[in-house]
Amino acid sequence: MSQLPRDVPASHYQSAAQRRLQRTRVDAPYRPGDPILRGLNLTKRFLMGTAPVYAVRQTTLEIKPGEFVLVVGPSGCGKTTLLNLLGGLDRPTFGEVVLEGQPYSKLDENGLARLRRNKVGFVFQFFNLLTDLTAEENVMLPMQLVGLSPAKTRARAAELLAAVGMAERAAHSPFELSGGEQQRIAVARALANSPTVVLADEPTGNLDRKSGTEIIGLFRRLNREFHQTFVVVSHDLSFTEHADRVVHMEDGQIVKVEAKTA
Amino acid sequence: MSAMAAAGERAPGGRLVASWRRVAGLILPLSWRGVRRRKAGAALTALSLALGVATFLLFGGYFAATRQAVEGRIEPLALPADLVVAVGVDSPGGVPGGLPGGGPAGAPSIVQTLNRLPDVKTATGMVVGTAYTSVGRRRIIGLDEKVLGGLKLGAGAPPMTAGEVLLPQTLAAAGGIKVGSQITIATDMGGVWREQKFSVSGLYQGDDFFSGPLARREALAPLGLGPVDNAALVEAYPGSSRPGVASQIRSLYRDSADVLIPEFPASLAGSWLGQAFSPGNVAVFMVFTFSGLGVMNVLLLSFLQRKRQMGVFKALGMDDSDLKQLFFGEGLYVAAAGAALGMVLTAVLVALLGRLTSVRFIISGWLAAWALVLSFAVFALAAWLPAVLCQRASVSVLLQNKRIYLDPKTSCAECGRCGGF
Repeated sequence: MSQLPRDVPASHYQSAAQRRLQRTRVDAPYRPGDPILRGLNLTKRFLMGTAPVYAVRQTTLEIKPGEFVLVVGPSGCGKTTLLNLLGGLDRPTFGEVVLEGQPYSKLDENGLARLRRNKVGFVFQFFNLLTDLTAEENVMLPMQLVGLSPAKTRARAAELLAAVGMAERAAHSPFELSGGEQQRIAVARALANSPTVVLADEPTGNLDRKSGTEIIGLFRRLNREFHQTFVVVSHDLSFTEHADRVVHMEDGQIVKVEAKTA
Repeated sequence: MSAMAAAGERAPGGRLVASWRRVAGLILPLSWRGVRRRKAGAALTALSLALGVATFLLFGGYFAATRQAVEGRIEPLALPADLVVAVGVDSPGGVPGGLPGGGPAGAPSIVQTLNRLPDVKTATGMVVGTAYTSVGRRRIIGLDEKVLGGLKLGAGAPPMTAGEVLLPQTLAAAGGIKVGSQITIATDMGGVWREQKFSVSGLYQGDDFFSGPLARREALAPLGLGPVDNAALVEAYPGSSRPGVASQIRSLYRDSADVLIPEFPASLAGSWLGQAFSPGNVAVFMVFTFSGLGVMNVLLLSFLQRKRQMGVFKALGMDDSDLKQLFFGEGLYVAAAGAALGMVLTAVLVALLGRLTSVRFIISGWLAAWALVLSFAVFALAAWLPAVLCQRASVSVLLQNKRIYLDPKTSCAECGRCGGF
């Protein structure tokens, strides 16, 4: 994170492509094939005492349907903050996030909660499974929140647990699972409501190399088999081979975007 | 993964049914798990509330029993009046050594003034003083012949001469006095005792603490209590409120009037119990306040220890009402446990105190219902702060276990001097 001089124009930090993106109308109706998730001119400012500190600076990013995007960069470069803004976990100081044509700024807190419930799946570095619940109940929770019937909830949870290879551990408490297993449960939970996009914040950060590779492999498989969109934040550059696009961040800004050609 | 499409399908039923299903099927079980996970803390919290409930029930039960006992001992004063007013007994021209207070006196002025009050039907002059009898201190009242003649008597006849007196039946029974007995009544005239012998002409019903000997007005002159009228019997119009009339009279004579209503002790007990700052109410209030603060502290700490979990709930899409229900659900379980425990504790204490002492308790269904209402109200208030804090904090703040401020959107969070939560 760094301080942004107040007298420097925004254009100073932006590429031509980013400036073009910013001219996109945020309230344009969503059409199939359009980017499903757009972060436009995002800036997030925190105060450290009285000094403003910019975690993300005038950053613009678009995610296309079915894309596997990896956001990489050193610690403290603003990757997690960017992901939080894209997922509606935090509000930008400036800028706009649009998911399937829905600008976040037009939603109140409850509206944002409903949007997260229905359209966004999260995978966290520390798994964040609810320890009061079993693995199966953790996966069922998002579906219960949208009001899916108990029978369908249970059936779908079983299906998701099987998809991540955890069917036999359904009745276990998170305490009884290894880190890699917990992260698999977290992935199943993120997929529960068929989200538009899954946002993963350092999903391998708390895992050993083998488990981390397995989790990224799982993401890739789900991405290919079910056309599930993923945005994964990681500081580990070894995962770049799995991504369709790699976004490099430094100092709160996107400095390079590498797109793989099919 | 074909079932992914199933997420869009909702359970059947209306909005209310869906809401109830959500609370019963998801929120309350989550609350229950939260309570179960902190068994020791929840048990201590429930115990503190149980003490509050038991204190409330014991105080309430004791006062109810006391009130019933007081009311059970009181019979209406057998005077043809709604109020007895004693005014200015220490004033010049009045009678010293009687009732407290001072001020103007005089039969014409008192009776005439009272008769002008809108709710007063008639005011009749009389003399009131303090009489010392063999069974204790009572008020002696001097009445007009006409008023004495209108009394309902249990035995004998109204006093026909200045040497005759009527006594309350229970006072007579306590002293072994019968119709025709001779009694001596004394009054204290500033350290000098005056005594006079009376013959008991009859007995009347009435046993509250100001029921005493009734005589003809002129009979009290030798006792130093006449002939100046220092009091009046007041009859209110039907439909008028006696406390209302009493209030009018008190406002007329400020501190110098002593207004008595026939069922005075019962109403006194009732009003004392009803006063917001009576000792019992203050004790109950304090117990509930302290247990409420303790409960709030426990719920707040429990929330602060689970910031990350709350962040996950919010990230998964729980909205404000879900979070409120989650906290109130936890409060509900502990309140129910505390109330039940408090009832059991009360039952044990009532049985124990009943066996060891003569103290009686009357714990009615209403009292128990009030205890329940109070305990749930305490928990609703206690759950409010953590629920509000949780609602206001952003998901990322909760997930990162950062400090929370009551108003995170304004300078409150930027100032941060209070340290937040």
